[in-house]
Amino acid sequence: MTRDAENPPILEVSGLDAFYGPAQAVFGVSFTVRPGEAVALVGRNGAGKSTTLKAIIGLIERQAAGLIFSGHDIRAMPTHAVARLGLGYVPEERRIFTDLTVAENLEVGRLPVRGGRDAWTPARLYEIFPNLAMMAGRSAGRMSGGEQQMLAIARTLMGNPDAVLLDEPSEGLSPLIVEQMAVAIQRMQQDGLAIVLSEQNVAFAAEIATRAVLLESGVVTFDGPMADLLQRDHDAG
Amino acid sequence: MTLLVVSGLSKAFGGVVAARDVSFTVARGELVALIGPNGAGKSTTFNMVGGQLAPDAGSVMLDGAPITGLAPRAIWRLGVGRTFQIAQAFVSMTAAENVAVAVQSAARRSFGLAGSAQREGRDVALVLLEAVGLTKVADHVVATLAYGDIKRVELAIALAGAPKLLLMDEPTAGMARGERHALMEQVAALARTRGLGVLFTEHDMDAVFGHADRVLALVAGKIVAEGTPAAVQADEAVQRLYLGASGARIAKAAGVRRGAP
Amino acid sequence: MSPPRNAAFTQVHPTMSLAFVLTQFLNGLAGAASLFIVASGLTIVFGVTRIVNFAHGSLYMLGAYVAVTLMAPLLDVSRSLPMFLLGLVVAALVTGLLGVAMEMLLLRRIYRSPELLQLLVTFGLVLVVQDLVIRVWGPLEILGPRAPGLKGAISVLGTPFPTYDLFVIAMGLAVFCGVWLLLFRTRFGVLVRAATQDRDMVAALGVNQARLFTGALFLGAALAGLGGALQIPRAAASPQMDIAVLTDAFVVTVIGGMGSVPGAALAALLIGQLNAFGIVVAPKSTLVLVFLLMAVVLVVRPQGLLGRPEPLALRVVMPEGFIGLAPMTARGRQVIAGVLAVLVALPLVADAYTLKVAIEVYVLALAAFALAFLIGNGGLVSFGHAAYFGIGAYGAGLAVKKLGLGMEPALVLAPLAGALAAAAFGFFIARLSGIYLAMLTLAVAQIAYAAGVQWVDVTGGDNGIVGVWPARWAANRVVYYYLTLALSAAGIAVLTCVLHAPFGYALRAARDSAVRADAIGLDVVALRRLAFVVAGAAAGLAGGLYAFSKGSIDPTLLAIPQSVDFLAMLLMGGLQHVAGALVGAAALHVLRDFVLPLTDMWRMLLGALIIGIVLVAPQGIVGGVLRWAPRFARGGPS
Repeated sequence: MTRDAENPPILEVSGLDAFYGPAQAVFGVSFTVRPGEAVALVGRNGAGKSTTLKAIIGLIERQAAGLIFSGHDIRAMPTHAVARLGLGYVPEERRIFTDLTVAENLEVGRLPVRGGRDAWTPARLYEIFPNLAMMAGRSAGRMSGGEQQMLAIARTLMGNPDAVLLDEPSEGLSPLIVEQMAVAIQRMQQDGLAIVLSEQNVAFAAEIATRAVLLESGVVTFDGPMADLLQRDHDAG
Repeated sequence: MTLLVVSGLSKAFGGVVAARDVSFTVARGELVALIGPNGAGKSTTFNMVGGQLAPDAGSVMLDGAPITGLAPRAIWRLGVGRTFQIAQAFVSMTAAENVAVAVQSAARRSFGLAGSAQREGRDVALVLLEAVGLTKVADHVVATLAYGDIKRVELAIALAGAPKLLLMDEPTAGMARGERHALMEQVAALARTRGLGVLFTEHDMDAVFGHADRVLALVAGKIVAEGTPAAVQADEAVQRLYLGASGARIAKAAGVRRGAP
Repeated sequence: MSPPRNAAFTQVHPTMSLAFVLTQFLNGLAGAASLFIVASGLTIVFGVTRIVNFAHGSLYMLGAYVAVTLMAPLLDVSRSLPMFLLGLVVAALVTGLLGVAMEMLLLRRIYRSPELLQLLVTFGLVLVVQDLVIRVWGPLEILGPRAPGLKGAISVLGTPFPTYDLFVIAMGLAVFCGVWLLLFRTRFGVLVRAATQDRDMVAALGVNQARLFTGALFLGAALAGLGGALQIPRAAASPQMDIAVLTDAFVVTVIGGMGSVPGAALAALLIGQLNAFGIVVAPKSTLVLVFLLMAVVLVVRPQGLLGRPEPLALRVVMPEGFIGLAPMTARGRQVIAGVLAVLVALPLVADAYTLKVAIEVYVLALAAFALAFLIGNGGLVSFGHAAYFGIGAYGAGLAVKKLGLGMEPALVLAPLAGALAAAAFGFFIARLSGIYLAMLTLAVAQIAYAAGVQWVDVTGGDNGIVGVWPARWAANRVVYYYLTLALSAAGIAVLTCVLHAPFGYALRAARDSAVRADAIGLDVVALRRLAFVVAGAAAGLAGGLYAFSKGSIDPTLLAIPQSVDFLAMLLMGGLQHVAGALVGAAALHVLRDFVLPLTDMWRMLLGALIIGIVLVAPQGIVGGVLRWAPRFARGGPS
């Protein structure tokens, strides 16, 4: 517990409701993440994982009892302001700018560095994602799914975030690429970043996250150590 | 008896090959699942069969007649109903009206300038809604229904043309777990009783290995494995390229549940 | 390089000498340069904000007026080319700032509104600016100064070619290079291009959308202003130049592809040359050639030459338009019977003037209801509804004056004329959807308007056709009142039947989900074509009735302001309700009748009204009534 006191949460979500137009998709979701911690939101397709992430970053309508990032109340903040506080977002389906080159995609994500960390530069990112280096000048639309996913993560890192929301990073990728992705995410975590991962692939989530938040029909039904969730599933089925 | 014969379908977008030399068949009363990672060409293959995309090469035969490259509406008239990954229904209408519009289309009444669209075909629509378990919400506007129910409305719409073949793109995506199983049971029952061929794509391994008669595994636009669920699940290439350790475990569990009495 | 002149060819076609070809080519380039400068601004703003800014024409006009105002004092300082250039730049910057004000005060509030409402707001702005310009600069044209140092002409193989046009060509090239560098070599440009593709993602990466949009509006407006300022040595600044240039810019962006700057350049070049050489083929109307080019391009590539197809809208959203059509209730029948009884009894108590207004309301209500059929039920946003109304009126008028027919056959020909025009235009329009469809409806309506003005032999030009009087038996105002009431009510009743018929449902199904409609065997394009024909016939009948009520016809019946009136009626009454168009037609026309004698700023008032409704009460009168008095809902007429 003393460690928790020294390391207060960077993101605190409490009582989050999220809406698609008139329809509510997420009901009173609460959880916290500390710097360097990786939390996985797990649950079925349509359980509200992606919606929760979109609501935190402000891409869809939301209400919350509390939504605090880095000490700021972000409930009424527009998306770009939340991102500028250091909360990165890697969307599902990657949403890279296919009309732009790889280098231009990185440029869109560039934000000034906060705090004492070294700023991410394209050169540093190309070290982690060597595939990207080879195609820096190429149109991003002509990359494979795995390469696009790497670009999506690299693009978010260009904003020098303190925490990253990763929406289904393993979806649709071959196991080989998923392994590379896991390594890259673990590296980000070692760098001190907080990670919130939305993931259907529980095996992949377990590789990265130590804590799991289980969502079912828009409601949190489990919040605790990943090992406990796996054990529970094992016992149940 | 073979209903659908797909041979040598290929499609490229720009330089990216989305499907190469894809061949398979679907028989009447048979549920065939198309699995594979995102971007493997499932939807492309699907859309080439349904007419939403024209193939670069290859042919599609339905009941012995070529349907390659026909418009979706022509393919529908020849007996192919389909549902979409993201449910496509007429949101401003009630469930019964949704199905009735399809019934009117099948009767070539859609250009009728007189008559009542609410009454025409309503009896047939109600029967179809009953078949998918939606009798209670027949007169509810679709926009107010739960997503799982909208998917069922879509299924009823697809059935309105008395199809021989049903194309279902991720039929259970976005549904609750319990609903998924019930929907797939319903589809399987429809296939058996009506002699429908069903081709579906699915990420949900429970749905695939619990309900399909045959599974096709597509990776990078090519079919890498084909056969019974057990055979495909045991296939080394499929395990390596798609299922991974956790997927294989789920697939096996689904297969075991299915095999159990 | 230059081949020897072909003497034989020159003899057969004296005009097709090499010098002629070259000067026409240069003329074409000059036209292309002007078009590109304006259209590139429109396309950039659309790319980033996804709003087709109808007020782009207004900014162009403001650029011209600002330049006219600035040039005199500037050239007084020193009558030199640099001063002229300075004037151009300042005019562009001032217009750019006006664009910024527009974005911050207005557009910012409607980025998330439905497409139709966005279009209406920017059109409201067009109306407001028109009256403002007249108020500030007066209604008369203002001639600008010639550019010092660019007067006169140079000789092109012996044929004179205006020096200033060469300058315009150079400016077009400079703007193209400048915009290209900006888009491909600066961070702002990278962000603009990224936002054109996915603006939410750009925001999630920490880019302030509001600032980006403001920047795009500044750039777009400045380009419009520069385009307007460049025109003043060639053509006077006038309060009508906004709509004229808007149509041109629409045609360029639709052909080139919305959001594509290279597309705009390519389309401008094509249209410039088509205009220049088209006069050899069709000396009177190159407009027809441009329309044909647009038609061909849209048939082959609906997204324009270099545009990207809109991704299929695979989502479940409630469209802007009619929601459900409940069968008529007993209460609804009572309400309708009551209203009809009052209208039938009206001549017993009303004076002649009230009857005149009532006749106009019925006619407009029928036409507006036809538009509601297209927009509310079909999702087909038509900005050119006046075309079918006006063509119906001309059809009736010409039947009487040129064919010597009586009122009765003329009133049969009017809906036929409207339906025929709608079939011809709808053939192309129905292939498109969304914003492209809206822009094409406006463009083809402008063709009809141009024909009304220019085809003097048939239409009488600006003077129109006079002496279109009803038959003797219907000449009495009360009789004509009942005739209009009967035919309008019948038209509305027929349209209502069609709404409830399988066709009406199939059309609405195609609106809700075109993909799903296609997958159940519905021919979406054919459905939409028929919808245009049905609506065109009803609007044509309204036009015919209108012609006989007025006794005369002129091209304003075909013009954009008339189309906007119909849209404003729908908006005012409420887009989601079948009765909205009828209530809106009555409300707007009565309001106009009441206000018009009091002010000469009707346009500004109408524009402000449109903007106000969208911002404050987008559900309109009927929607408002239903919301505040839910008991009405059960008895309402739908």
